Amino acid sequence: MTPAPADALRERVLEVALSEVLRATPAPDYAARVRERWEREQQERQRSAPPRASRGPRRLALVALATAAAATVIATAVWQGGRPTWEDAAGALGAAPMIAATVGLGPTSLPAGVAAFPATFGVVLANLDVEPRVVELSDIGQIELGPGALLAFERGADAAGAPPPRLLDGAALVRATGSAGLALAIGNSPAPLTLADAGAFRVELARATGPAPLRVGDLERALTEAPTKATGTFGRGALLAPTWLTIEPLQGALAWRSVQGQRIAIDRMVEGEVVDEHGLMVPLEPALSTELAGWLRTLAPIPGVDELTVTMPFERSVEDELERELRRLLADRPALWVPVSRELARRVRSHGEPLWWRGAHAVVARSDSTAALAVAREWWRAAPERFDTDALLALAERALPPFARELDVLVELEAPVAPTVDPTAPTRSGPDADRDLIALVALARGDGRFAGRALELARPLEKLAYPDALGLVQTAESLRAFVASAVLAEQGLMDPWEGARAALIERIEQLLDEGQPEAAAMIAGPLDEAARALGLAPYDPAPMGGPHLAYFPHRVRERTLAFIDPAGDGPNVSEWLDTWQR
Amino acid sequence: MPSSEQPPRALEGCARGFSGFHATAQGYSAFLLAVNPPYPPSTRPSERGSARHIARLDRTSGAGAGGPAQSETTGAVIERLVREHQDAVRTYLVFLGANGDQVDDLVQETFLSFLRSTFQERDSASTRAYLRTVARNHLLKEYRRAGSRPPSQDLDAAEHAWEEYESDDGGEQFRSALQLCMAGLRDDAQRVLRLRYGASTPRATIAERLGMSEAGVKSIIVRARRRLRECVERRLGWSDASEGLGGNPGSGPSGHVIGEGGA
Repeated sequence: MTPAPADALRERVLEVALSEVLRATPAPDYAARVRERWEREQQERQRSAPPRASRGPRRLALVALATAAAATVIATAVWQGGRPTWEDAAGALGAAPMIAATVGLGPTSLPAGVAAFPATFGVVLANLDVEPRVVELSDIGQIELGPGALLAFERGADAAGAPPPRLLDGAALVRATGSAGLALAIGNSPAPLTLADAGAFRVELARATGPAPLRVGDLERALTEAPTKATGTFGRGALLAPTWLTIEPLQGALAWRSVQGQRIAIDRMVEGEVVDEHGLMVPLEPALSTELAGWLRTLAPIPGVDELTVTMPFERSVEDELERELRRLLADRPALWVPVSRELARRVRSHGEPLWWRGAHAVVARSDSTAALAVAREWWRAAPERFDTDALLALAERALPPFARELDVLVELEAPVAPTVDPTAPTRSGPDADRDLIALVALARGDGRFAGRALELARPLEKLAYPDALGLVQTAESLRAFVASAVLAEQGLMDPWEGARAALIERIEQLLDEGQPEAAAMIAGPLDEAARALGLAPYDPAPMGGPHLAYFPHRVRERTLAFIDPAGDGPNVSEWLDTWQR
Repeated sequence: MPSSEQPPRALEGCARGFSGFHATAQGYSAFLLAVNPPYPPSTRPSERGSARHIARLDRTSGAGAGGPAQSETTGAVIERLVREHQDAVRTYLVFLGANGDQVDDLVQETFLSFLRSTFQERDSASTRAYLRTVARNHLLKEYRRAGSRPPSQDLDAAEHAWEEYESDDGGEQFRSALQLCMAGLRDDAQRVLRLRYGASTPRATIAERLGMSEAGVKSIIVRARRRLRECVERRLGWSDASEGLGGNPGSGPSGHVIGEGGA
């Protein structure tokens, strides 16, 4: 029999009901407001939907080509039908690795486009909708951009008239894409982008003097005045500094270039200084790195700095210097997230692989992996969009000690966690590694939008991990399922643990099919714990087939029970697991 | 086992655990979308879910079935859905301790989340239960954001109490009983309750208006509430009401605040 609820709760119910029955004013009606918000949300989604591959006879392809050798990107606008084609562009630009996205085209010229300059391979994003509009962050969110400069320009709506053109938020673009580069936003222009324009696109970041936003004229001047062979300075590896600066400024490891071509390169790295190629010492105030980072984020001008391009002449000597610099920095911090080549990351770490590496970025860490995770967590919290989820998961998997490799166990709880954890406590306690893992895996297997909450999700995990329970984090599947379901539940996006349950069932069936009933049973346990942690009443209040199988379809339960309870005399999955684990 | 047999077997095995395999499959889809998003956030499960949900709403509205609501737009369906459940969501949030401004925001967020969700509507009660879950999660999120604690620490018990109140009819029976019981209260008690609960008038103001002491107002409220509760619980046949609160069904309380005849 269900126990009677607490007296106070019935009192509270009565009060609420009284307020409803006696209310002197009409109850609020949210219908119109909800509808309005819903419709606006849908419009927004529709507006920011990814471009379809084909939008009509007139099509623009904005091509970004990145040559791994020269690390050059040229963004090219290609018109079809009397205009240069993809083939033309490819021929003109050489046999460089090319990744490009086709775009639709507005009725006028080039309404919008984003070209990316990655250091390794280029990814172009161009989103030219049927209706002229600016490029939205969501347009590029789907495109994986390599580290590099991001050139965004908008020419939209000039002839069409509406909507009024506006500048792309270049800094937000950078943040959204995780690009190491700097977004260059160009305002409205009467002229469509031409091949010549595109060919002249510089890989460096060009920025005119004066306050943001940039105008087309700024870019044109930059393109005109900049040295034509500037790309050569990138060399292999194309170590690009913006991310470096924003994440971990390595003072001195910069090359400055003005659009006038007055190169300020690095001959040697001196903290607090950069040295131009003429030997002129350019003081770099310690605070400037921070300021520079801020500038890169916001595109706000730095007083006294007219033009900024960030390139890295990738000379061996510089690499050596960089390695030394990295080592120096690692001396007083556990990890660095830096845009370096894999080779350099290896050198810095001096043994094995860098903690993780992707593209031209690496997390270089000391052997203290837990500390590295903590650092990564902080970075991730600061700028989750910068992180590559798979790489993060790899980081977690590498950094955390394996518990039982054959079971794909990710984490070993370092110590029993107190069973009584206030679910509403603003701060949590528990092993850092757990929190980090949860956060990282949530990000890695979940959705970036939810990343900010991932740390909070460690709390129910702690709640679960009381010593006499099976513990939730015994399998990667259960962990991921739990986190994902918790996240989704918190967002109210789905039936709270439906996803976890369904995922686990799927996995269990898969394991059963593969003849791994032990592993299947291992996954079964945490599910109801997860449900409890989420504060959910089970669907079935009278579990059948053992407590841990109550949530499973009959089919799965039967198959699992056939293994764990062949005698059919009442399975106890917990007991069985205990035995089996021993 | 042939896959075509799976849905009924799943249903069979789960008694009332799973209402349908489709819910499972869609939940899984949502999960997969969450763990391996193949497209940007703007087109992630919420959008897909919402599309399904609205499709369902349209179906339930009769669109496509030739029913009278065939021409009902999605917006109208949404409004109807909200109106059907908004009072339940709002009062539940109030019950959980949400304050006025919070309630307005949370109710909207709850419905928006619901619209984005992959929830498969089965009946009004399950929809209410789902909405409660979403509302509760939103409220907890608010508390976490503010670094505070919800008034009710035992959410399971709170949920249980609320389910008991709502029963199968959304609380209609409870409120009807309450109204009947109210009618049995003495006039001054009714007046005080109306001021206190109907108009949210502070006790001090009530006391001033009615020429009473604040303690006197409090006393009336406490006694009237107790009588109401006894009366309502007796009418609803809640067994522990008569046992725990001393009111035998049919006999009524002997106090002077409420008269049995009216209740």
